[in-house]
Amino acid sequence: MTTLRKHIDAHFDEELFRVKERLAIMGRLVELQVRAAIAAFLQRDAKRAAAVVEGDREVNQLERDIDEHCVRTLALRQPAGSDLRFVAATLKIVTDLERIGDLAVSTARQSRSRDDVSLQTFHRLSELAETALTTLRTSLDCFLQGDAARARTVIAADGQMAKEVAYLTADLGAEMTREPALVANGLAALMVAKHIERMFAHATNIAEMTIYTTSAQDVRHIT
Amino acid sequence: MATAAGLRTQGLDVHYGTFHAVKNVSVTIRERCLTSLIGPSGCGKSSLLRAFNRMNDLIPGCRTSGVVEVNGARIYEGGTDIQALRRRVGMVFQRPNPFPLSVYENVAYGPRIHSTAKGLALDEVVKRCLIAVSLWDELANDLEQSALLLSAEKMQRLCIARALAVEPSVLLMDEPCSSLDPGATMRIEQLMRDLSSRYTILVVTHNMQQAARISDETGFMLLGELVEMGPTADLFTQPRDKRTEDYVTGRYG
Repeated sequence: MTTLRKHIDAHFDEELFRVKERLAIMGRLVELQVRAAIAAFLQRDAKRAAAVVEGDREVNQLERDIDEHCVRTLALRQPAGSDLRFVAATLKIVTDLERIGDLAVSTARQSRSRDDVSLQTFHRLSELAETALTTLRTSLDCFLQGDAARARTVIAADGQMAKEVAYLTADLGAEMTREPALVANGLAALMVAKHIERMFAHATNIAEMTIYTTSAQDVRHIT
Repeated sequence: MATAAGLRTQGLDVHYGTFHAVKNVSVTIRERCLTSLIGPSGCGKSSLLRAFNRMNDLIPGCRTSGVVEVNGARIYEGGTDIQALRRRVGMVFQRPNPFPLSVYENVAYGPRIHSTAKGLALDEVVKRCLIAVSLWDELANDLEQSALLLSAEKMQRLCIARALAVEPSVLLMDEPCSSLDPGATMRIEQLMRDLSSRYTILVVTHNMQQAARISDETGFMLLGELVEMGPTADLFTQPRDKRTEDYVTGRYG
């Protein structure tokens, strides 16, 4: 883990700490949004789905706040080295978090596309979402703590989600083939699975940005 | 115009009495590039700069050892013509220091004492140098006015023109913008960039943003050592050495 000395100007440390604090809040909020969206979809809970849509405003506001902080830091501090990489990475990470928030909204909205009948595969959506959320939490913790070694383990597990989604897609297809009445629900579940896969990709982006920030190494698009 | 030169040191040490100002520095300054030296006060960057035209020789108690090359020639070996060296390696200082003479005479001074031009040829040299520093359009009809009446920025431009008049291949600049306001600084920086396509320029600056803006390469010095030298973008975004990282991020001290 990287431990940096304090800046000569302690205010700069405080400013960067405030950015980290907001990122942690945004990450936690996005996590709650995803969890609520999956529940809204699985339980076909319109009220909860509406709450997710409403909650996205707060996610968007945090994105604007953090962006503004970063731009101000660039303009007023002209950071260099690891500070510059931290600010540049933060600007990307807020976008990843905001996109995960958008995907939570899309997931919640899928609850309107299904009826009361559950498919056997539905429970696997919860498991996939938990995997994506664990990855998100780990990646963001790594970024906030400057832990590149742990971030590399996140990236190493990158391919697993795509496999799980492929299995789920095949099983959903089989279920829909057996019972054509389930097609509407199956298609909605497919959409949700794809949203979760995208959430996972955004979470691994954060792990990649951790490595960039701590080691000045760009590991994007290597595999 | 003069041809460009590269600078090189090998195992350079500079002492002032018992103080070891530059410690075993080996560096190559690329031809026709703008290279900046950054580092805290007393780190040895001005001493390194002054080694390239033997200005350190003028400081009592200064001892220099190691190899220093300008254009491939070892300048600390016996037989080096110091006057010729300083013609090849021009210098611009922190505070503009025009002579108390006219604009024309300031630029003509060097070619006159070195007998490199006179008469109409000297007029041409003055014109060419004032064009190079973007002063000709303003001062063409006022060449006899005292240089001391110019603004600080124009004085500094004039000093650069004066350095160019003896057809150097290298320009050494020691904090050339530190006494200028931000607008003048930007214009001098642009001039430095323009000149770097024809001259090898080595700049000492305390202003890291200036080094980042103008330099092709940047070196970081600390306690007499050249800690790191490389492309400017790399040094400011992904420094290799922890000491450079601490300095460019404001963690030094």
